[in-house]
Amino acid sequence: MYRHSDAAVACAHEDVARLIAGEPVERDALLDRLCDIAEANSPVVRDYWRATARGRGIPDSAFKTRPPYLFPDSPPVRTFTTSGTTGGGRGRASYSARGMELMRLSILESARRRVVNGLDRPAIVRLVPPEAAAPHMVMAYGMELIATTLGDPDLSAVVVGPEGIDHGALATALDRACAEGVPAVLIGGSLAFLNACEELERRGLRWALPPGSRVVDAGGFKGVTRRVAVDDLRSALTRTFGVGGDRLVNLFGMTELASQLYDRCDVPVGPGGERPKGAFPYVQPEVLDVRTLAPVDDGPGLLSVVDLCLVDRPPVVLTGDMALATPHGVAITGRAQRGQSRGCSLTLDRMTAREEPAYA
Amino acid sequence: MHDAAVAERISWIPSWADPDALELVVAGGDGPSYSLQRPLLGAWRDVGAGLREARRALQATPIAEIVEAIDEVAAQWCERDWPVRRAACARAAAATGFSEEVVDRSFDVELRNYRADSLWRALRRELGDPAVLDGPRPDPVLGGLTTASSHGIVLAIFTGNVPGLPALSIVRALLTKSAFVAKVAAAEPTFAGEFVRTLAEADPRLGDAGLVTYWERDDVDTRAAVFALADVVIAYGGDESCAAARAATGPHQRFLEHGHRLSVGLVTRAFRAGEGDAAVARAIARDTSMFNQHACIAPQAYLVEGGHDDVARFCATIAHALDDHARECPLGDPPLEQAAALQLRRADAHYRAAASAGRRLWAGRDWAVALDDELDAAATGDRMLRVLPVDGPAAAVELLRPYGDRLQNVAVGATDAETPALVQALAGLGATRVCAPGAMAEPSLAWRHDGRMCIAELVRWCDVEMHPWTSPDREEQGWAATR
Repeated sequence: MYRHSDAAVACAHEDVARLIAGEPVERDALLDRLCDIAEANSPVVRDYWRATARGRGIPDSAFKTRPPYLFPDSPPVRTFTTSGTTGGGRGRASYSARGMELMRLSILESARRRVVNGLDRPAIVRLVPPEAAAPHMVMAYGMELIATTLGDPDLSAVVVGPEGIDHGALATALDRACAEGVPAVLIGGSLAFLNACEELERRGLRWALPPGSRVVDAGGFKGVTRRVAVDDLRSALTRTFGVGGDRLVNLFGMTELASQLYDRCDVPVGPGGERPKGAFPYVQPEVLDVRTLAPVDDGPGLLSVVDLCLVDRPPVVLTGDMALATPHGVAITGRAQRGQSRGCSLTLDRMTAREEPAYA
Repeated sequence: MHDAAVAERISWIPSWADPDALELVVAGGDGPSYSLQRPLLGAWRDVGAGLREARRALQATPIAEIVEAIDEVAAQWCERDWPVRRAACARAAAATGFSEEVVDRSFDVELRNYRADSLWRALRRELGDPAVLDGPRPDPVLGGLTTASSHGIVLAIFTGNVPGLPALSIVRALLTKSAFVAKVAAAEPTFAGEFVRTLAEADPRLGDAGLVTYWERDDVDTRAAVFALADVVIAYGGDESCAAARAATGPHQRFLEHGHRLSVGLVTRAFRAGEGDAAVARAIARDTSMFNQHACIAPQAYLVEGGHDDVARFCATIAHALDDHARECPLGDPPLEQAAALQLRRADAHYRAAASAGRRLWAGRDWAVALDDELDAAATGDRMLRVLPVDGPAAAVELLRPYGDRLQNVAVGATDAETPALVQALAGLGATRVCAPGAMAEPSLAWRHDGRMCIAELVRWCDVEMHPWTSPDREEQGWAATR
């Protein structure tokens, strides 16, 4: 059993920070060390890996029942939860102070690369509740962190209130960015964007945002009855905001992950036009064959995410999503059904289709 | 992309239908593609009229002839080597991802129920004298006569979890001289049309009385048109789809549901001691493996009387038996989404077992046994059986109490002394069938499916009483009552 204060643990966590910072770190060896710590500190993880395979992703269902947490001597300082709307309870993910710090570094490093992408203090406009209004929602936390750290303090805005999206505030924020000629970066949930575009269109409002402007939509359309193709949203975003191509970026995040995955390029590879997600040294998506759970280089399977920033629990999550491995990267194509989808047999299933992720 | 010429035809259109009033549709997602014919939206009214006409022809057909025709067809279907069956088996396996052996065994247990002796037995059980379907027959208890007529047109909406299942409601419809429209399931669309085709070959009047087709879930116009002509709606499926079908059914129509059900097995210590663990485990493996556990009658769990360690040892024996069974009858190759779901369920079960000292999981390629302490836990299916240690029969009954109204099939492995009270308690809870372990997958046609009389509920009775015609003693019973 390793203590949080042990040198080996502190060293491994320090190496994760260095990896995020772009310093040369032996990634595979680091992953191995993190797995060693997880196995040593958690009999549950040890038994799970003994029965399945070492380094196998913890299933997202585990976070509802017995969320793994490796350091009893360093109690969590923060817990995020899933929305818990469609049964099975809420998933909970807890972080030690060091875990929160690594999460912070990871969020910001990825955001520098894929959200602001070289822009200097853009106007970051968030279509997500402010952190104070949703303290357990990891998306609210992450997006506020990005906006307050990387955005223009005067022109950035949060446009979701208790009643939902404040379209007036959104319009004002975009008008101000245009007036100042400052690039805008809109960030929020995919469904929120779709609804916002529809409403703004209804009001006859459109913008040609300043060059360099971007839109980052998070999550997807799980839990929504109508099928929405990725390009439907992208067309709407281009129409309403005048932003297109590789300046439209989709983000994949989960309450159970510290790091996020972003579109790598504007190539529609998935069946619904999903773009491929890229890997960073500290976070990688993997696709596992549905029959053998062996890694797949090219083809469909289950999504597993190796997130080395998850120091308070095992660094691999079996997310419960389907994915497609392609030469361009891994496209995330939708939630996998857990229950039996056909027929008249009742299976004893509290944990049916997962509720919308925090990033919906 | 989808080629109508090579795609499998899954529909059945009666011979009297106007070919110009049909459209050819090709359907299919990532799996095999199928072609089907379907009446044009505006043609369904005429289809309804045609079906009513065919129903009148059926009404004039003696029930004995209908039974004979179905028996003739069923006899052929019971032969594994019959080319039609082989082809149907291959198609159903391709559609579902079940192995051909699983499909074959499903066909074996279901199709033999449509032999004459089984048909007569079911008719007698539910209607008394089957000849009531031909005309008024004496009813001694009534002291008069009675006759049964179909309501008209039965609309049956099927699921795809059990290969061959559509035959059940189609046969019930024909036995009651009802015309029918069958909507096949996207998950297994191939069997129904072929079955009706073989019925039509034996007796054209049977084929003329039915139509088999498909429409997409969001095709609300076709759904409305078809529902409009139905007198009876039979809906198979989960709560959501049954609710949708119920919502589409009007107050003048009869709605019959075959919804989500829970089936389990129960084994006492004394029973195990008497039969031996190996034999009981084999029976449990059979129950669990049939239909790949996807049928409403398949056990999702077995409750075993015994202490934790004792039942854990028994689980290892069950795992062995499931493995042996899978050698002869493999699970198959589920389609991508199903296989993914199965992997996630396994991962959930592995983690769940790791997270608790009491829980354990045994897993092979085609099966899994989860020793658990909660009935209401993660999903099962595809031969994943939950096994719960219980203190005794009374404790088992209490464990099942919350599921009473969903209870279907309960296998009872108990001594002669233990069984009566157990059966009484289970029936009181809501179970609709009790059988021995190993026999869960083989209900008779006479079984009251869902606890109802599924043939009788398709007919309307006309009782003749207090009429001079009614009995030999009419002076006493008929005239006397009116004086």
